[in-house]
Amino acid sequence: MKWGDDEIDNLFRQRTDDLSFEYKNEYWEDFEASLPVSDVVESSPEESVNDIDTLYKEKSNSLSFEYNSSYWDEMAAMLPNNKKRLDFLWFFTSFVFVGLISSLFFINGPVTAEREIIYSAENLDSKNGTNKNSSVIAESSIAESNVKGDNNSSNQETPASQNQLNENSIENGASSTDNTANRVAGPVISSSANNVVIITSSENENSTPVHSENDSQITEPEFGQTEIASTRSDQEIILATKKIEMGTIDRALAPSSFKTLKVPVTTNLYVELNGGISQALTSPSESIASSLGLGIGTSFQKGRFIFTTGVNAIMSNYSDMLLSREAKVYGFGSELYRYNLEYKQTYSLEGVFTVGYKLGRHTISIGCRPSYMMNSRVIINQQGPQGIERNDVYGFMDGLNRFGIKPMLGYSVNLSHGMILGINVGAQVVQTVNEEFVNGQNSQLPIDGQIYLRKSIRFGK
Amino acid sequence: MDKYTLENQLDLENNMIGKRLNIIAYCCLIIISLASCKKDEVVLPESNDPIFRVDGTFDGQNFSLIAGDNNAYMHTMTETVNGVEVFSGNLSNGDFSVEMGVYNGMIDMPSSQVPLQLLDLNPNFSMNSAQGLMFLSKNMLVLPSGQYIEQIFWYIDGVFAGVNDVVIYDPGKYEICAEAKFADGTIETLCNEVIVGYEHNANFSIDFSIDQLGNLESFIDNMGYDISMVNWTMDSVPMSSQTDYLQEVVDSGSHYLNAQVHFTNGAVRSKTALIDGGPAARHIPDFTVFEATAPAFISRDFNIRLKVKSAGALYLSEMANNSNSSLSITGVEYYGKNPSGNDVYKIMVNVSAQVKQTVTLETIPINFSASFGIEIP
Repeated sequence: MKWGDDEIDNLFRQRTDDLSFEYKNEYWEDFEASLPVSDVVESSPEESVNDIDTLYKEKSNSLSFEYNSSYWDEMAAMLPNNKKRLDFLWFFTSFVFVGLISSLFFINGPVTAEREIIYSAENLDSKNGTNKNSSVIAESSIAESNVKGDNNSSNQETPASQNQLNENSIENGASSTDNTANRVAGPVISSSANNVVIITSSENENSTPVHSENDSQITEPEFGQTEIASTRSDQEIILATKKIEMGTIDRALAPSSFKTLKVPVTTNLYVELNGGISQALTSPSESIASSLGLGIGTSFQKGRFIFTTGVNAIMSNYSDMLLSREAKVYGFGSELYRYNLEYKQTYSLEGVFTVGYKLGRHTISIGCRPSYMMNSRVIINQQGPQGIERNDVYGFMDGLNRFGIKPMLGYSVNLSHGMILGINVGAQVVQTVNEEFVNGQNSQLPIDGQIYLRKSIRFGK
Repeated sequence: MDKYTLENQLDLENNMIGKRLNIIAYCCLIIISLASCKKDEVVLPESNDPIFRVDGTFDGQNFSLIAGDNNAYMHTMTETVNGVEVFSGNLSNGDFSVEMGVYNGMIDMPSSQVPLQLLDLNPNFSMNSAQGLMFLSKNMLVLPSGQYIEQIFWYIDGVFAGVNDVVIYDPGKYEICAEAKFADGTIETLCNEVIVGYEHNANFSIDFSIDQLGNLESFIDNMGYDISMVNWTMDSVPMSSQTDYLQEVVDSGSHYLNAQVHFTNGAVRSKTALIDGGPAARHIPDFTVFEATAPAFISRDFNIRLKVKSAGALYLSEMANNSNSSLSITGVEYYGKNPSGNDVYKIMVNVSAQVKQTVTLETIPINFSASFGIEIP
């Protein structure tokens, strides 16, 4: 079973409905009492943070804890077990595709959501009001420890649920208890020697420990069976998310914030005119082929990505596709036929499948154009016993392979009034000419360029 | 936006997308239809392997004739030899030619399937006979009840052949006419079709008697063959369709009594007798008597005839003794129409034969394998 958004959403809702944990007020009081600075409450948030940072650094330098691998085994046992064998081709294709898309991220900088949410000590304080002492966030010095590695591994499997917990704490934000509980989202590492408990959140690379003198018993809703205790003299360190970038929060926020977050999905119908040139399909040849066509299709945009599907009717013109042949036909005697076939035009239906990334008015895209040759126009010059004949023939498909496919790269720019001007550069990877029927050989990966003018008709939101 | 509204909106959006997809699909269909609307049927000639060819040795020399190469051409035709069709083909390049023909073996069966018969048979080369195959004699036509015939002039296929007694040596289907001079000096002529040197698939004779008052009684002697239909005519006037009997009153003078008999095996024969309803009694029976008494030396049905032309000389396979010649037909298949519009069959045959030069009478061996065309209309 694969865990999609729907399953994760349902799981989150189910777990949050069943959420319960024990909270005693003396935990908080003990926590406040354990703070080394008495005027924490009276200090400004910035000062409090600095003090906590200092405290954290001091404590973290002397921090030691024992890691028991059984904790991780226990954690792993609770993770969804997806043993379905990966299909290598799909996996590879997905990997390549995701890699290409990811490269666009790095080339163009980080992608931010339309609603960027950054969690920090400040806004936690400001949101929670009475929760000033509940979380003190600093850079984690244990991020480089072996704990980090394990936690990261685990979090790769359960990012959504953890983020949902975080989100829940932020939105509800009513009590410090909630926040404390909800921040506990990752595996728990405890040391029996010093009773240090490290609770990690989903983004442990940026997680920060939180010092607490409170003993707390926390029922972890996600895993249900985790109970954490600490002594008053020890520090409870909670690694919380300092900053959650869009890439992580987007998926987690989807179920609950779908009603309020508008992920723009626009679907357009378009019509286009296109023209292009391409290298000769056969070699040796110095001529080029031209094409002209019109098309129709749809494109829909999600975020900055534009997915386009369509179909073009293409008329391609050739001047170099010739067939010279003799045929000796035996019967009671024999008849010798000499004929020249000039493949002048082909008529194709061409599919368009692209994924584009929008940068303002500009869009760069990758995709492919599979094609099916429907018809042709061929001039047949035949010299036989009946003399010389010249015929203009439609539908003669001998020598032509009907199917073709062109991977391509594209660029387009949005003009006014819904017009889009773009170019595509592709290469025909399927040999469309049967060498036995033409003079010459197939060209290897003939490159073609296509320019199109597209009129978008928006019909949906 | 609550959940219900959200789902409605999603449904609405899906419907809109569905409608647009329908539009796209229709447009695609229109485009496909337009692109496919004009298509010409083009069949370009393609090179093929030779159809007809002969490869072998003649007098120890290799030869190869391929119709279509070196001016060689496969000419197919149907010859008629002594009234019998010879389904033939001639492959020649002008200097050297090989001609093969198949004698029709179903000459009394008009609707026979000759190619099937060829496939079923293992034919032989045709032979010439040094002995007479049929004797035409005046005395065999004199009936006891009729007036005496003093003299008969014989005509075979319209050509005078002799007086009173004639011998036929070659097989064939002949139209034989007897110009008889009776004792009273009158001359009457009677013609009949006679099959010589071929097997009869069926046969009959007209038996008749007529008194001086002109009362005629005639019968069909079917010789054991089953009859399906008989058409009687008197002087070309239809008289009766009774199977084997005719009774009429015949006027004085000579009359031609004809019976066309259809046999159940498909054979059709027609014979004519001369009868006289007057006291002169000038009667001549049909010529069945000649067929019945002919010696069965030869049966030329579906025999093969081979002709070779080399350096202007003609060589024939038909000899009195061709026991050293053999052939086997390995296949018969329909090829098509020839320029004359008649059906042509391709026969695959292996031949080992002797042919005799028509002038020097020199015998030459010839061996070949052939894919040969013959016309069977």
